[in-house]
Order: sequence, then C-alpha cells, then structure tokens
Amino acid sequence: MANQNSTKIDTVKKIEALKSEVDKALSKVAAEPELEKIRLKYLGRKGVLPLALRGLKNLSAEQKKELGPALNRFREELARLIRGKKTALAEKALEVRADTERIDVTEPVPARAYGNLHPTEQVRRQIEDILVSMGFKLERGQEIDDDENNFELLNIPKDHPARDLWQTFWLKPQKKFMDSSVGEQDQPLLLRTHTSNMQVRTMREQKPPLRVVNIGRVYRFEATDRTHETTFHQIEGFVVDQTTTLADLSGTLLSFFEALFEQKLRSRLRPSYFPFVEPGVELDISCTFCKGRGCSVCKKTGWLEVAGAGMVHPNVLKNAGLNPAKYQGFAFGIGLDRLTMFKFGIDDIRLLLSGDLRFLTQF
Amino acid sequence: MKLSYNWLKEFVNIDVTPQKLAELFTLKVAEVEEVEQFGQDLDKVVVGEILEIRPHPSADKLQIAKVSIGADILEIVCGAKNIKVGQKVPVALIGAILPGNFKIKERKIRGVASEGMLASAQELGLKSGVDGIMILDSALEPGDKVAEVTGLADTVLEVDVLPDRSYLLSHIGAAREIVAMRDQDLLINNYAELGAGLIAKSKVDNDSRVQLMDPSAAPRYSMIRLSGLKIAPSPAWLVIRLQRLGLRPVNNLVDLTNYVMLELGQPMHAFDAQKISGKKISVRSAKKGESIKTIEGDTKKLEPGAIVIADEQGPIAIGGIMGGQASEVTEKTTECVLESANFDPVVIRKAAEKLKMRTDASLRFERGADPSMTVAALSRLVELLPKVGLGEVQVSKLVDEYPAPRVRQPIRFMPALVEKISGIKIDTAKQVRLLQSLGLSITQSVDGNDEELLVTPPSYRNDLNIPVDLVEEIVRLNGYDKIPFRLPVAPMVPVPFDTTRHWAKKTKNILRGAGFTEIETYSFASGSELAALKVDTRAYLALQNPPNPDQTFLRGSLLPNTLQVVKKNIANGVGSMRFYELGRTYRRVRDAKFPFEGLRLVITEVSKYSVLHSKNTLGGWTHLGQILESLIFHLGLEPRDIIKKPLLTNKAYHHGRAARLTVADNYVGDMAEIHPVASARLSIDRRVTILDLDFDRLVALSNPYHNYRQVPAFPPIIRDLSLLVKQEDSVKTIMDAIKVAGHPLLDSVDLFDKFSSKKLGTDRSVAFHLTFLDRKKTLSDKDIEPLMNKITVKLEQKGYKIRS
Repeated sequence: MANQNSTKIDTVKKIEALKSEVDKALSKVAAEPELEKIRLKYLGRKGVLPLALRGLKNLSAEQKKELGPALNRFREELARLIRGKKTALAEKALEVRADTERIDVTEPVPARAYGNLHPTEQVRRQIEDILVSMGFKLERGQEIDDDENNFELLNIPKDHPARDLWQTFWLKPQKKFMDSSVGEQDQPLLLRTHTSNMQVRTMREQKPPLRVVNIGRVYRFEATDRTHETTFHQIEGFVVDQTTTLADLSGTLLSFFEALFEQKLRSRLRPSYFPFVEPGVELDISCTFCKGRGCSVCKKTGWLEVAGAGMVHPNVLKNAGLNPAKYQGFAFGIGLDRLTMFKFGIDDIRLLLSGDLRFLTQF
Repeated sequence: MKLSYNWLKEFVNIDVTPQKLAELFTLKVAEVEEVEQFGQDLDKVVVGEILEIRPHPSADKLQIAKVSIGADILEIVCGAKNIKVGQKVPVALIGAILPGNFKIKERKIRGVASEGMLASAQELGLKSGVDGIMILDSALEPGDKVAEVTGLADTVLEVDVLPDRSYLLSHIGAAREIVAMRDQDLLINNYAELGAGLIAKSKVDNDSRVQLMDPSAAPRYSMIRLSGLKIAPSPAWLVIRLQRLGLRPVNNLVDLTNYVMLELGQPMHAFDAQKISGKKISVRSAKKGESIKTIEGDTKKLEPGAIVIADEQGPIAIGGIMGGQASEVTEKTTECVLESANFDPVVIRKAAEKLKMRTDASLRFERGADPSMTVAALSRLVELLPKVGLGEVQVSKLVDEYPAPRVRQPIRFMPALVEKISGIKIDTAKQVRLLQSLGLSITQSVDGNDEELLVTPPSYRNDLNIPVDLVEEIVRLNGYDKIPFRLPVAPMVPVPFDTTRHWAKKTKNILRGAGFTEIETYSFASGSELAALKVDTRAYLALQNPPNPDQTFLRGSLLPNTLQVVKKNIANGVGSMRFYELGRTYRRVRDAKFPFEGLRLVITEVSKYSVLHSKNTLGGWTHLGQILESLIFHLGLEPRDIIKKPLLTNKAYHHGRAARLTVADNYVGDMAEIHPVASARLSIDRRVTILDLDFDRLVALSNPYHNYRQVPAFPPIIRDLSLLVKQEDSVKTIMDAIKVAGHPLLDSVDLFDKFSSKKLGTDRSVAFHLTFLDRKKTLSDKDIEPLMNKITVKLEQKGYKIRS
C-alpha cells in the first residue's frame, strides 16, 4: 500500500513539476515554431505525456485506475494551454498588424460609382405617385397622331384661330408605305402638341366615372429659349362623372400641388381659353419660393402659373359618345418640365434634353 | 393687344389705378402680361409758344427762339429747322430729365446761353415721328404740362387676348368689360352718331358700285368717298397714341383708319380714288395667276380662295389682309375711297396662312369681326376728321352692301346650369344682371318656363353660342375666387398595374445603382450622325417642318443621339462616361395608319483609357455584359438564358465586337462596340460600347418573381479544367459541350481564366470551374470521376487539348 501510495504521490508531484516546467516554457514562447517544439516535447508521439501514458500499462489495474485519469486530465490541460497560447500568439500578430498598417483615409476614391436619375424622371415619379394615390389611372398614349385626335375631336376645327395656340410639327405623308386597301394617306400625321390627344380615345374606351392622366412627350414647332422648348412633357388629366364641378377641379388641383410641393398653398383660377374646355381657366399657386411675397421666380406677382384647366367642353363629351346632359367633368394640363425647373431651381429648359453630363450628374 | 389707360377713360369712368385695373382684368377677363408707364417724369416739359426766331450769331446751323411758357419767356438755342413763329412746341425746362436720363442744364451753345431745350418726339421717348421739333396742337395753352395735355403720360396694359375673345382687340371691347366689372355705364354709347349724321346728311353723290361676288366670304362691304384731302403727317396726339400701342404712324388719313381700328376693332382701308379704274369695285375670289404688289412692296401671287378687292383692271387689295401699293394713299392724294368691310374668319385665315401675311387687319377678321360695326367705324372716322386737319373734307353718301344681315339667335339658358357646372349657387337675378352688364339681352322663355331664359348676345360677342359659354361669363364676373374647394367622390377601385412603368422604374434604379446617368435626348435624328453610322433610313419618318435643317427625321434608333451626347461630353472635357436613355423610337409600319413607337434602352460606356487606337482594350464590354445579366435577372429572367451570337451585318458596329442578344429565343437587342470609323467620323477618339435593347420585348418577357428552388442540402464538389483551344473557338460552345457531357451531376460551369501569348501562338488557354452537385446525397470523388472522364473524352474528340 505504502509503495502504491508513494507511486501515486510521486506521480502527482511529477505532474505538478511538469506543469510548472511547461508554464515556464510557455511564458517564454514568442513565436509559433517555439510553441510547436514545446507541443512536440510534451504531447508529440514520443513526448513526455504519451510515454507516461504508455507506461501505465505496466502498472496494476488499481494504479491504472487511479493514475490514468489524472494523467489524461493533465494531457488535456496541457493541450488547452498550448492551444490558448497559439490563439494568443495569432491575435498578438493581428494586433501588431492593426497597430502598424496605415492607409491614407483622406484619399478620395478614384471614380464616382453612383449614377443619376434625370431630374424630370425624379419629379415625374413624385407626380405619378401622388396621382395614383388619388386614384388616377396613368396612360402614355401615342406621340404620332392625326389631326382628328389632336385637334378636331377636341373642338379645335381646321382653320380655327385657336390653332395658333399650338404650332405643330407635321410629318411628310407616308404614302409609299401604305397598302392600297388602307387608302391613301392624304392627311399628314403630326407630333402631338399636347397629351390631350388621348382624351377622346380614353373616354370612348372606358366608362365614367373616369380619373385618367396621360403623361408624355409633346412637341411644338417654336423657337427655343431659356423657357421654351420644341420638346417637353405634359401631364394631362381629366375627371368625368355626373356631378363633377369647377369646385372639384379647384380642390383637386390645390391638393395635388400641396402634395407635390409638400407645403400649404393658396391657389387661384383665372379666365383663360382652351377650346376643349368651357369655362377655361388658368391655375396659379402661391409662389413656393417666396410664399407669395413676390420674388424673381414669380416675377414679383406672388403667383406661379402651373396649370391650364377647365370643364370638359360639351362637344368633346359628345365626340366621346357621352351625353353632356348626363356627364360632365374637368380636365387639366400641367407642364412637367416647368415643375422640374421649379423643384431644382433650373434656369434653362434646354439643359433637360442636352445630354450634358456636367448638368445631369448633379441630380 | 395693347390698351391705353387714357383711351379707355374716354369710354368709361375708371375708379381704380392702372395697376389695379390690370389685376382685375387678369382675374376676370384676360391676363395682363405687362403694365408699362410712360412719360411719368416729364413734369418739367411744358407747352411753349414760339414768339420770335432769330439766327445764331456765330453758328449757321443754329437758331435762337424766344418762347413763351405762359409765366415766363425763355431764349432757347435750337438746331432743328422745322420751327415757325406761332407754333406750339414742347419745352424742356432747366432741371427736366428726359428719357434715357438726359438732364437739361443751363448751358452756353456757341456763346449763347440756352434756357432749356425744344424737344423732338424721340427726345420725349417716342420711337419716331416727324423730323425735328415736335409740333403740338395750336389750341394748347403755353405752360401746360406736355405729358398731360398730349397724352404722352399714359399707362399701357398689354393684354394676352386669346383666340376666342376677338372683341378685346379694341378699346371699346375692353371698356365694355370695365363697365361690367365696375358696374359703370359706357360714356360714349353714341360714339359714332355724329359721323353717321354727317354721312347721312351728305349731298355728295357716291357713284361707286360695289359687287359682292361671294357674300359668304365677304358678307358686308361699306364705303364712302372723301374728297378735298390734304394728306400730311398726323398731329402729335395721334402719333403718340399709335406709337404707344405699337403702330407706325404714316399720315393723317392712314393713321386715322388705324386709330379707329384700335378703338372699335374694325379694320379699314383707304384707296387713292384717282388710282382706281372705273367706278365698280368687285369683291371676289382671286383668279389663278393673279398677283398684287402690296403696300409693303412685296409682290404676292394670289390663289383662288383668297378674297381680292378689284377695280376694272384687277386686284387693288387683298381683302381683309393688306392693300395694294398702286392705289396707296400718298401725300398727293386728294380723293379717297374708304373701305370698311367684313370678311369670313376661315377665308381670311386660310389666305393669310398661305400668303404668310399676318396683319392687324387679318388678325381681327380671323377671329371674327363684328359685321354690324362697318358703318359705325366709317362714321367714327368722319367724326374725327377735323382733329387731324381734315375738317374741310367732303364726305360722300354711303354705299353699303350687306345682302344677308346676320341675326343672332337667342340661347336657351337654364340659370341652374351655373351651379351644376361651377359648384357655386348664384341667384337668377344676379345672373341676369351680370349678363346684361355685358350687353346681352334677356327675355323669359317663350314657353312661359320661368326656369329658362332666352339670352341673346350682342353682335360683337361671337364667342357666346351655347349655355356653358354663358356660365363662364357669369362665373368669371362673379369671381373665380368665390368657387369653393371640393374633392371629387368616386368608387374606391385600385388603379390598374402598369407593367411598363413598373419595369422602367426598376431598370432605372438598377442602372442608377450601377453608376449610369440617365439622359434624355430629342426625338429628332440628325443627318450627320445617321450618315456616320450608315443607318438605313427607309423606315424613318421625315418631318415637313424640321426644327432645324439637320434634324429632318424622327429617330428610329437611340444610337445617333447617343453618339452625339458622347461627342458633346468629350468636347466638354468629360473623360469616362456611363449613361443610358430609355426612350421612344419611331418607325414606319406597312399597312398601318400610325407608325410604330417602340421603347428602346441604350446603355453606353466610354472610358478615357480605352481609345480607338489602343490594342487589347475591351472598353466597356465586360462591364456591360454584367449589367445585361443584372437587368435580365431583375426582370425575373435567367441570366444563363442570354445567348450572344456574333453579329457581322450591322455597319454601325465593330465587326469583331458585336453580338446579337437573345433571351429564351427572343431577340432582345445588341451589344456592340461602335465601329471605329463611325466614331472617328464623329470626332469621337474613344471606343464606345453600347447595349441597345428592345425594352418593350423585355417587358413582355418579364416575370414578376423568380421561382424558388430548394437550397442544396449537400456540399458541392468543384473541379478545375484547363484547356488549350484555338483563338477563334467559342467559349460558349466549349461550355455547352462540358455541360452536356457532365449531365446530370454537373451543376454549373464558370470561366475563371483565359490567356493568349506569343508562345501559345494561334492557341489560347481557357480554364473553368466545374461545380458538381447532388441534391440527394454528399458526393464523393468516386461519383465524379466517370463524369470527368466523359467530359475530357468529349472535349478531346472535339479537338480541344486538356492541359490539366
């Protein structure tokens, strides 16, 4: 027993000695290769501990039972210590890297990687979202149209002085491309002068109540300057039902512009003339820049002219197959480009179609 | 139309300032675009009477005038020769400031002190006038302020008269609006009575005969003859009025016709009676081949449809548009034929358009002049003759051809319509009052229906024809500011989903995130770009009236404008660029009434490092390929379904760098580098890579969502395969061969490396990652080996060499 006890005590002492030896060795380790040497010395195939464990087989079962677990525990502890040291070394190396590595954080990136939406597109999205939220169906319609839809059905007869309001681009007749069965195209086509060209078509296809907006390019054969373009965008909309009045027009447009400019506004109607409406009005809103006090944008008037509008003319309703005694409604037209210019403070409409990236990359 | 505030005051008491009047007009009648004040600072310019004129002692060209200004007598040195003793002239006193900040100071002129200055029309701010010192009306009192007594001080309101309200093209018409707005009375209701009396009492026979050949085109022709004329420059008051309103003074008679036109809206024309052959004036359609030299000196070829006024020899005027030079009134004219006629709006408009002549007369006739005004205008002119130094003139009897006098039909009007249309209730009594204030006459309905009125507009209101026209008059005079704000009520139905709009937005968002700037260009195409790109323009649409001589077509492709944008930006110093346009293109379609309008998406990449002559540069090829995949993926399609095939037929493209793109067998567009010659011709020294996509097709192919595929539960095995192939071999073909041979466990093949070198010569090296995957179990090498063998055998059969 005494012998056995002494073996046990010896082993325990030996383990403790070994432990302090390893601790000492580990504390001196500064790099991974040294650590590996230590690992091999104690835990390697011919290392101290595996040998000791192999030596157990010469002992009695009782001794094995007593010493085996202790040695195994010690081996595991040793392995843990070495792994811990290994992690500490790796982290130390990364820490040194983080302490020494430097980039010039003030240096700009080489080239811009972001793109841009056209300013008109940005305002168009906002407008479309507002109109859809108000229940308007959006249409685009054709840009190349005939005299009938662009003018005549809208109560603008041929040779009427009202035609002076729309200088028109005409296409050369395309006879050669026509099949004789379709008939000769003696009436030249035109580039629509307003998006109202879809009004009668839409009214014919769909039944009241109608809330429709047609947005797209329109064309005028005019000299260009800072505020005039041959090509621009119009938002033309109408509401037709049985009791829709000028008061509804006034309320609808005011709430639309308040949503668009995200502020309380005042508005006013002024008499105007568009052959497809009667009464015809012009809508002004209080200047969004000076709040109506008068500034250079509103030319000191305090008002911005933002829409032409009116009650759909009975002749237009008739042309659309609607009985003017039963149905009535309002229509309005808004210039998208002008609103875009207001929104961004752009002072020359010609920039919008210029393709000038120095301009377009600002938005 | 320019309106003189002074002139309006002759017709109606105006109880508001010109500025306030302008505001009221804008809110109730028509927009006043500008309010211009004149002669406000001319307080120190007074009427002077010339008492004496003597030569300047030391200057031949100067004279010294002794001038009475009522309270004082001044000595003034003057250079102009047109002054005579007894004349009344404007005197700018010391301290006066004339237009252009011209200050009058006491100064010596060649040794003689001048106590002021005699002023010319120009010096008082008029555009032109008689040369020399302005001669004033002899009845004026010395010392009176010139600006006040001559009407030099005035405010001009420029009104934007829209095509419907022709009556606003006259001062009387505008005055009638003030009458209605301010609840006033017209001061001169009998404005033409005095003259009418003179014509009626005339004992001078008028032996002219007028023949109206087409009364529908020229419904009325009234004329008188004036004899004993002394044609001279107009007096100051008339010159001032006409010039203020933008007309050029000619002589007293012509100016008076213009004056009456501005006042009453009736254009008139004076012919020199001695230059008219015969006594018969016919008003007829122009004959083929006829021409006339106008008073402006241009010879105009006339076509049937235009109305001419003709004597026995031929046309003497283009009816309703302009007179002829041959019968023009000159200073030698002593007798004239004075025409005051009415013409059909459409006839005049067509003729004026064809002749490219827009005159003050044609404008008024086009919009509809009042046929009942012709004689009144003649009468008014006769009444004014003494005021222009023509008081001695003999006035003939009237000749007035008006075979079918126009009768206005009453409009059946229900006062309830006002509320129904406008949303505001206005009681019937007020409606009646407002309509009457505009000169409309009202009776109860003949049916005894007291809810219906019979309303007859006056002859000068050709814009009032149907009940809603009356609603507008009532509502605007009542005030648009009284209209309440309401919101329409409608059933709550969802707005239909707009697929194109949805995908356009999504596409633009993707491109924005990928560094591309959206551009928009004109819908026109320019000839020079089309030529450089060798575009076949047979399906293009041409414009009759292009915006400029180079842009004769509508764009059938976005490419020409794209290149123009590249060129312009390079010139602006922009080196590298990434941009796109999503826009319509236009092409003729056989057998269809309307051309095809298709949405195209052109995405462009240009790098400043990739110039035309640099070798081995890919330009934007790789990046645009990635962009294409991104777009295809986000359209709900599979990027692996994109097939690119070499495209050799498009002359605009680099032959070795152009691909025809299909997705699931649908042609969706091209990816290409612009042909270097085309770029060079457009002065673009850089390689331009583009994607030109058929956006409508992409939208048609799109899927709202990708379908879910189960995520693999077992890990893949990845093998690399390196091959030596010919330079011209297609990577896509090799990959397809690998895929076929690797079926069913080969999940994907990715090109990860390629290179060419001198040593490899006509060969090149390509290397792929092969990913094997089994969705049911973990793969082992044993599962892969047979497939790898099959792949290598297959590739070797096709002549590719396996490197590893």
